[in-house]
Formats: sequence, structure tokens, C-alpha cells
Amino acid sequence: MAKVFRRTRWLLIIAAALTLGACATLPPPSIQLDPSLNGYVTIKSIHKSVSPSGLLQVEVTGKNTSDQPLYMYYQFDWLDKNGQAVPSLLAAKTRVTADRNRWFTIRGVAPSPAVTDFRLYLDERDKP
Amino acid sequence: MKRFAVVTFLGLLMLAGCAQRNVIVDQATDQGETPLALDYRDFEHAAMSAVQSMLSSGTLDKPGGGRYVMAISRVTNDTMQRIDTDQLIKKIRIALLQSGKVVTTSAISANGSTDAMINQVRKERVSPEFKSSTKIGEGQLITPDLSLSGKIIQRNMRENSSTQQVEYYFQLTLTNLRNGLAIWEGETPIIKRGSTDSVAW
Repeated sequence: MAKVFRRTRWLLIIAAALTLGACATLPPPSIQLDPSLNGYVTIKSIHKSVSPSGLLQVEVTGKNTSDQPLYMYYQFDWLDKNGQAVPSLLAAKTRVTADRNRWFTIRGVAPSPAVTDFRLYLDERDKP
Repeated sequence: MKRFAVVTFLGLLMLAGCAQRNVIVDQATDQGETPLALDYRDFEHAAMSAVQSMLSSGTLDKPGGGRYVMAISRVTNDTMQRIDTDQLIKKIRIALLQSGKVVTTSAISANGSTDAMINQVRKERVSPEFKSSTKIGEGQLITPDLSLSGKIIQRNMRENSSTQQVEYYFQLTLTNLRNGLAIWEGETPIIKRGSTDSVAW
């Protein structure tokens, strides 16, 4: 009986660990956080809209959950309907700073009406 | 004598090893130090901010569709540096053309950056050397709807004996030429701080 209980206990622990792992907040696939930001940045929402003239507009809201200001870069990849990147000035690296325990917003506008999707990279940069 | 030659050869090798190598900068991953003067990253940032603001403001959405025709007005370099303002304006022109909302005219501008061939080809209307059916008739040029003007300002200040601050302001205005109203305005400040030994001109 004790042997069965011991085996069941381990099964329960593994099942609980798997369940908790599945609940961990992962950024959506369109947003790629540098591993150095894991545990410090949480992506809360992504809003996509298309302007009347057909340009995709994106607004990503995140939170710096650490007790230190975060100095970051972000960069958009603008993708057409075939998934190919559309090169543009609007895909350049841009600085963004998030104060400790504060929300921050990243806004982007697609360079051309041919853009239908995006990828966003967020990376840490050296403090000034 | 032989020993002298060996020592000289080794010395030359060491000197060659110390020489700074020239490299091509990969702009996507450039981690180079920021100078106090303006560099390519500042122009890219200012142009990107302006284009993003223009496109997301909706002022370039022409009622009924189509594209606006934009002319380049005067863009003043009011810094202590020798700058070709086309470093900024060309990036904006390219991005706006790509957006499909604006096309820039090369026929008229306030800073003289027109295409000389526009007038040159018209002078040849009477020339018998050109095939008549290929000649450009009168009244083909398009009057611009919008004008882009601006100024780049620099301000230097000393914080203390060892630190100075250099402030740059990229100011741009988009004017509706039909009524003279400024339909979009943008300012991108770039503030740099560094040693007083650094030169910002």
C-alpha cells in the first residue's frame, strides 16, 4: 500500500508541475523576448487594427515587473501575405525604456498596405 | 647584422599587429559608441519617428483614395555641423513613397533639388532630332498638394568642468499648399551627454 502511495505521490507531483508549467505566461508567437528579459517583462496585450487606407497598426502593451528600470530596444519585422519581410525604415531598431514596475507601450505602423502581419523583437540594451 | 634584421622584422610585425583594422559597420547590430555629433542612427531615428507619426495620424489619408503630391521646401541646418539635410529628407521620401500615400515631385522645390532633366527635355520640343510622338506636351507637370519643410537645431551647454550636453531638435512641418495650413507637425529631440573633450561640430 505504501509503495502504491509513493508511486501515486510522484505521479501527482509530476502532473502538478506540468499543469503549472502550462499556466506560465508566455509571450505570443509574434513577439520574441530576448532571454535576458525573461522574468522581467510581461506582455499584457496586443492590439492590431487596419487604418482606412489599409496600413496595419500595432500597439503592444507590456509591464516591467522588476524593481529596476529596463532599457530596451524593439524592432518590427513587417510581413506580407506570403510571410516575406517588407524592408523599410519602419523596421529599424528603436529605443524604449520602462520604469520599474511600470507599464510601457510600443506602437508601430506598417510601411505599406502589402503588410498583413508582424513580428516584434524586444531586447535589452546597455544602460546609458 | 643578421640580428639587427631579425629585430627590425619583428618590430615591423608588431607595429602591423597594432594597426586599427577598417571594418564595414553592420547597421542592424552596430554597438559602436554614440558620438556627440549626429550620426546615421540619429537621422534614422528622426526620420522613422516623423514617418510613423505622419502615417498613424491619418493626415495622409486622401479622401477618396489616391496619393498626395508632396514638394520639398526648405530644410534648414541650424547646427554647428556640416550636414546635408537630404540625409533626413531622403529617408522620409522613401518611406512615404513606400506607404502608397505620398509621391514627391522632382519638378519644383524650394531648395533647388529638382531634376534638371525635366526642363531639359522640354527644351527639346522643337528639336527635329527627337521623334515627334515621344515628345512631352505642355501641361503635364502636377502641382504639389503638400510641402515638407523643417529645421535641425543644435544647442550646446556645459554641465560641469568635465561634462557637456548637446541637444538636437529635428522639427518638421507638412503644409497644405492649397490653404497654407500646417496639417502635421513633428519634433524629435535627441539629447546627448558626454565629455567636454568630445567635439560636437
